[in-house]
Amino acid sequence: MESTSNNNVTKELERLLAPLKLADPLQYNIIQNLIDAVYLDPTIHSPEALSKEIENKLYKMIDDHIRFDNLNPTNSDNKIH
Amino acid sequence: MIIKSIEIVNFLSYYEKTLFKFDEGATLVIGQNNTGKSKLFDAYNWVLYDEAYKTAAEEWTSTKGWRDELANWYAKKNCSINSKIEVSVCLNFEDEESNSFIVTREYRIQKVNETQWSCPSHSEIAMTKTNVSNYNSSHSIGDEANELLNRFFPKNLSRYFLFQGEGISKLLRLNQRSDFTRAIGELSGIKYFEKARRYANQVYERTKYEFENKLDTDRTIQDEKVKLTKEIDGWKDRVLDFSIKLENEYKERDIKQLKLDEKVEELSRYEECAKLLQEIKILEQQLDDKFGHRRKLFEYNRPSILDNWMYKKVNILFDVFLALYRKGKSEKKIPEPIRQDFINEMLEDHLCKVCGTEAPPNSPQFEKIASYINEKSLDKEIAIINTLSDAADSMKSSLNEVPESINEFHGELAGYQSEIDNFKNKISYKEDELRLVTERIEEEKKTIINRRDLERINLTQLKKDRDQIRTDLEQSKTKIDQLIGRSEEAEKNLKRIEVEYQAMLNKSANEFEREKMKLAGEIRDHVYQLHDNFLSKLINDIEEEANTYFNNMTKTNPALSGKVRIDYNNKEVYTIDEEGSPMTNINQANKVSLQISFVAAVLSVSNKIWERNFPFVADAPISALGGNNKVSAIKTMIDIFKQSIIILKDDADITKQESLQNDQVRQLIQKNSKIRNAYELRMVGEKIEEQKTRVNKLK
Repeated sequence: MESTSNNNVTKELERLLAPLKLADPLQYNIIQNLIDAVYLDPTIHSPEALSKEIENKLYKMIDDHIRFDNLNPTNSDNKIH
Repeated sequence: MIIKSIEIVNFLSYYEKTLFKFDEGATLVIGQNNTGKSKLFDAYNWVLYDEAYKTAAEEWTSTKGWRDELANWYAKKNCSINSKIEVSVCLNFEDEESNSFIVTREYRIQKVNETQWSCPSHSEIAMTKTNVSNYNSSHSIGDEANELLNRFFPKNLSRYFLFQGEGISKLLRLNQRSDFTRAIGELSGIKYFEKARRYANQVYERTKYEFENKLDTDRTIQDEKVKLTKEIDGWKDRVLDFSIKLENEYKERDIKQLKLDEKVEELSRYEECAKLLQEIKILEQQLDDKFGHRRKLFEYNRPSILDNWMYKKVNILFDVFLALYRKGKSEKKIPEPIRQDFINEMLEDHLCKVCGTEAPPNSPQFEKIASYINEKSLDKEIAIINTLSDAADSMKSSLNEVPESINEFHGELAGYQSEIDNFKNKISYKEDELRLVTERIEEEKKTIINRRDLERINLTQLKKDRDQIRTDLEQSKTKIDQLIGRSEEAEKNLKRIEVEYQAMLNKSANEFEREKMKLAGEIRDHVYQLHDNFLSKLINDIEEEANTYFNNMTKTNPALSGKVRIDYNNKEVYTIDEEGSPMTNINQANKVSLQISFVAAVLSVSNKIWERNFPFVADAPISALGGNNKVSAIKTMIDIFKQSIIILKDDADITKQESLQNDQVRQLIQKNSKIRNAYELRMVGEKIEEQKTRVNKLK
């Protein structure tokens, strides 16, 4: 009965994300990873609470995406050492 | 899922072991007030969620709050000191694959002395699954059992499949902390998308903070960035402020709406009482008139009837007399009158021809015969007999008319009696209706109400109170409209500044932070969109289902019309007319149809998403309805759900056989093949500490 194992929800999610998957697979991956992380979120039953681990994971995915996939920053501050 | 049985032991009004069995289809449980109906509903809630409804406190209370009060009074009374009472509820259900599950919740208390009990702080739960294919069993207890149970009976949906009629108005409220929002959160994973939305926003804010806190080398851009950021923060605060105010105002409106519903309900019941009282008064007046007519008829006819009655008696005496006389004559027991010529013949022959004795002249016998000559004469005899016969005949002929007049009188009397009985029946019927309405008021007010109380009710004041609440509600709605307008204006301004901000962004030299923030913003927007699309589809599905049920329920009644609208933005569920305008002043049957359709739709959509059927257990789902509307609503519930267990108040007068025979619910139980089981609850025991629910199986 948990949402993680519900086919109807998964199908609907795929349907809604299909255009993004085509247009921007990287963004699609980030969102898909976020949803997967939220399914296992230990704070899911407390609407006000957030897991720092999930927040950092999303932040890192965005950061990595800009750092490695999208840009080739010339600014030395942003170079990976 | 199918609930197969529930076994209740020493729980509240249930003493020792009581077993209810169920099947696919419908089960009806009926009972008068205080017979254990709601306690049966509590048993479901207790075994599944460790809570039961405390009427006095008007809240769901866990075992910890109930303590020894959870145990049956009679069991407690019979328990000796230092002995224990075990309170337990055992629920047996099957999943879609026919695997069997038994969940048992137990609570043991020990009697310390006559007034004190040693009570643990919590109950114990155990769950056993038996696999249908190989009969292997697996067991779980405590948190593990609760977690497993929650997969089948999610707590957030419980107010829908464990449905309490009295709380139905609450289910129609859609504000953030409502049962509906919790149910929506449970349905189709909305709660996960809500959480994802918060993470996306949090990360966006973080990247934005990084961008804004990294100085731009171009002074103009840096100043503009600081200025726009401040403005954006300002507008965001305002939007947030409006959103909090709106949420509060929605709550206020819901409270007022609830108050209005209650007042309208109260008023409609009192109006119904007033109408019934008026009808009863008219009928009582008509009954009095009929009594008067009957009395007059009797007084008018009494003297003649009395005479007739006496004649009637005389007639009987005449009949007896004549019958005896004729019988005696025919049997020769009465001697024929002695004729003069016969006497002379006996004197001439010197012989008594009656007895055969010799009668020589001058003998005593001769003198005796001679003495008859003057005393008995033929003419005299005949005259007497003729007179008697004529008198009898004349009397007989006049007496023949007596039965006719008596019959006529009896006819008239019977006519009046039938009219009197008719009025009495009508009054009794109306009094029954009045009793039902009064009982509902008594339940709500928790007090006893008699006819005099009802006659003293000030309807005008009640109407004024209702109108005042309605005005308050309208003011609240106006306030909401204003807040929405101002909030939209603030959002517009926010967007405008954000556009300026976007334009500024491209000029910034901090490309890395800028792009990161942009991407975080896009991710956030996608996740928001995802959430909104899911929610909107879900609401549409529920609305569509609700309208299908609503149409089915109302199509046979032209007085009931409209379409169901789930207005999630305004947090309301209501009916709209053909032009799409919200309908006001809908009648009670329409309102109940709307409520049941909505609840059924939420469950139906749940069933589709989870590909399984939630059983529907309802306590007094249609307490506001009576007569045909009630039966029609029961039929609808039976049709909608794969399994329904409907607990209803018994409106029949159980002391009268006729009332039981004419009871529409009992007739439905017997005739409707979808009703597979039916139980009647009665309370036995005079004193409260001796009371226990007794269960009769009706079907």
